[in-house]
Amino acid sequence: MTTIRISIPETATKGEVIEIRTLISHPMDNGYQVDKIGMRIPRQILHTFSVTYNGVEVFHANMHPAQATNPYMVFHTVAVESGTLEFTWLDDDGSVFSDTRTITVQ
Amino acid sequence: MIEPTRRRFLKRVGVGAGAMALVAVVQQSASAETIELPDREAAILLDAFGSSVLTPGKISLDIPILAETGLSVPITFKVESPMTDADHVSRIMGFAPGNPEPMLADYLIGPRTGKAEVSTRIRLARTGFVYAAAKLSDGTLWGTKFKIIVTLGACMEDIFDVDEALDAERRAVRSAARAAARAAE
Repeated sequence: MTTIRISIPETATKGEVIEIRTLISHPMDNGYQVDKIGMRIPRQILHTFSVTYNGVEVFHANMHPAQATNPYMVFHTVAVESGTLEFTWLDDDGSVFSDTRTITVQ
Repeated sequence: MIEPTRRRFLKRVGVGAGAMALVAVVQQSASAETIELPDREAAILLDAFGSSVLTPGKISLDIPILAETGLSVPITFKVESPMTDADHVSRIMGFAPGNPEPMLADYLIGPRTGKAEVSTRIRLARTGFVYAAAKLSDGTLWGTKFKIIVTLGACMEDIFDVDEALDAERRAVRSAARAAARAAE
């Protein structure tokens, strides 16, 4: 079960730079750890994180095994118009996790 | 005739000190102009940006001096930039040469990002330098480096989860070898 937490202001003034904080629960197995019987745990991480603002990509992160468990990210974007922000994470096993938030720009 | 020892000694010291001073000057000027990256990281930069020459400045790292655990280290990449269409940061990268895979982070940003500042949490395997690189829209590359002490590295869990049976087996082998050595004496 994956939990996604996104912190984003509900309203903003036009042209304002807003801070977005995201957190997703994921073990981010980096492929260098071993379990109790000495077997290497295969790599399974979220390799990509992308944010689109009304369909335009505003932030993109390529994640690597050095990303800590439960990837936490703080970044910014310019509030240009009211609309939807879509947050998408891509997993090594092919699964896609996504969530959306709406913002009202005055 | 052999020169007096004292004169010979002074001559040698003088030559040595001169050479050392020269090396120090060369090293200093090199570090002031560019940031030297280890080969593996330089290759990644060369692949991504077509150049691995980083000029110090513009980008800064916000990271603790000492991390008690390498499993989760807070890090902030900050670049001084107005983030307009004409002048913005297009990519930020982070490297830790001490890790099995050196890439820490890779962010693709632009004028819509508004502010060239990203915070996250990373894993560090051991004490060492952390490098950051930023590519600006005008094509220039800027970098910085910071030494961080890691008390307990990541990817080391096997030390704490000791396999009891395997450990006993190894201990038996070791004590048998010791007994054999004693018998040979």
